[in-house]
Amino acid sequence: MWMRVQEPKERAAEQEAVKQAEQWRISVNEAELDLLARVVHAEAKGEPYEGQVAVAAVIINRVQHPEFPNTIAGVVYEPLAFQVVANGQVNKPADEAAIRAAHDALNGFDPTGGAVYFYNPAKTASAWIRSRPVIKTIGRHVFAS
Amino acid sequence: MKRWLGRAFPNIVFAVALLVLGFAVGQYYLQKAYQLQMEASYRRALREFAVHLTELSQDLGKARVISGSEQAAALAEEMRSRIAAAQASLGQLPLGEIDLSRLEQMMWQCYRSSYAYSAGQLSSAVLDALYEQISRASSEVQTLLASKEVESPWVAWNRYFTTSLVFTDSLAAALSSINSNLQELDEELAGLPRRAAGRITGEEISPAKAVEIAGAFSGRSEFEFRVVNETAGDIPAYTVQGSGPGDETLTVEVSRQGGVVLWMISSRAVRARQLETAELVQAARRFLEERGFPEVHVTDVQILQNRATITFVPVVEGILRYAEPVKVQVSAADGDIIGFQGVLYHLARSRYQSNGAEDVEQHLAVEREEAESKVNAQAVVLDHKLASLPNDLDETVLTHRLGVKLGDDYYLVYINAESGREEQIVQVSSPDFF
Repeated sequence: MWMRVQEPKERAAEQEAVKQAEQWRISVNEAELDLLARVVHAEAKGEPYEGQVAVAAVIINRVQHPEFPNTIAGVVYEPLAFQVVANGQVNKPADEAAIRAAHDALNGFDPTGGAVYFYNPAKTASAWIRSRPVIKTIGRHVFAS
Repeated sequence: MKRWLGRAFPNIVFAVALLVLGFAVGQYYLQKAYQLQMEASYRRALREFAVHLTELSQDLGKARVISGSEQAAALAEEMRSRIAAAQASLGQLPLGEIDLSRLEQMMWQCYRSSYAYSAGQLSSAVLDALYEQISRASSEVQTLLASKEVESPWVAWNRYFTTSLVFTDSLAAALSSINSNLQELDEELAGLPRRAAGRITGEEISPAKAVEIAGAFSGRSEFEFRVVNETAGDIPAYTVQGSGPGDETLTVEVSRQGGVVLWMISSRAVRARQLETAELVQAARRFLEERGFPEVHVTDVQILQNRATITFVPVVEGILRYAEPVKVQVSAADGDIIGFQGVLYHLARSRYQSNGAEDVEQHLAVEREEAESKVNAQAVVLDHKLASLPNDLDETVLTHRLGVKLGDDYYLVYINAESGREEQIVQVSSPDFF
């Protein structure tokens, strides 16, 4: 999916980048990067760019956290983890900003300061998630540890 | 007309009843087929879960005997991959319908403890408890799989017209029972050390100082910066945002202690590429030099949507420090710096300042020639450097970093300079990355 928006020269550079994956926080393949971008698009469309990177960073933080599955797909498809998976929004293609945000998060940009949860306080009734220690609020999302 | 209707009425009722019956039977068989299909996929997931659980139990058994740290690290790595596979299988079961929380809990406790195990920080009592729990769960799941045949129950009337899926009740009950029979593991597990995030040290700065630092670091004199947010967590920080002409927003995170820039991101979309990769690297390197960073070595270049993300590692006394990377993003249209990331670099600096010394020993028990002799005989060694990198045990180890060519492919092979062990092998796209 992300190939669509690139020049052939960039595509080659990116394939090289995926090969040289040692510098990313976690090793991912193209399909996982696309999945990450689609979650960002579905969860944070309309949010500031920093907020989009933050959503992607939460997923990466979960992959690295011992209490969560250790792949992007494992985290995203964990039962009841993301509403956008349950309602099918995740299947819509990501836009350019979401792809960029996913890429930045994989490169270690983490505006959340290490959060592993996020929620929209206007939409969640869960007392448990609200009890998590808040690190930061970006746009409509609260990021917590 | 009335008489005709009276005569035909029983026939009409009979036809409608026949249609309803046909529809119900059709629904029943569709539902049944769907249910059997899902049932089969659940059973497959359960069977895979059982296999991974058995393997994990065997690994834990071995872990109780192993005493060498290298073997322990290798086994811990293997256990983590088995746990990941078991978690993936578990995730395919209908967790919304049956409570398998303790099984899930046990998996992540096992995952966490694998790090403590490889670092020699897991007591034998906890290891025994884990082994006992996993073995019991494994044996019970195996027994369950052996005893349950595919069941074909009548579908209850209220499920005829629904598409809600029902995991065979007896199987769900048996799994729930296995789950509830698991004991809460020793509290010692809850207190296991986690990978330390580290701290940035230094004097606390004011929000006004953070604005000043962000403005100077970004080099955007035309931008107006202000503190828009604060970050709690491991590294408390001020989030400073700047906006200037156009719709670009620059966000800069400045640590409250020490006042260092942790990261900077820009919302700018770059529409065209005008610069070559070498020019982009040069712009990034200049940016770091002007901000007082030490000598750096470029290890990676990624270009996405005309934005280049370039990774550098510091070179201190000839050693490439892989655990302390800094990343710089450059606009491929005009060479403007639009992103920076240096959290690990600053954490390392703070650590060195606290320790009063840089923490990489330069003792080379394995010399360059010996390291090169450990590389596959078919491969040609083209380059040599020294590099320190984090290993599986979260220790920083000194390595010989050998750039090799095998056929048409290029690799970086990292040989531990103390033990001669292959720490890492990474394929790179060209010898430029040597």
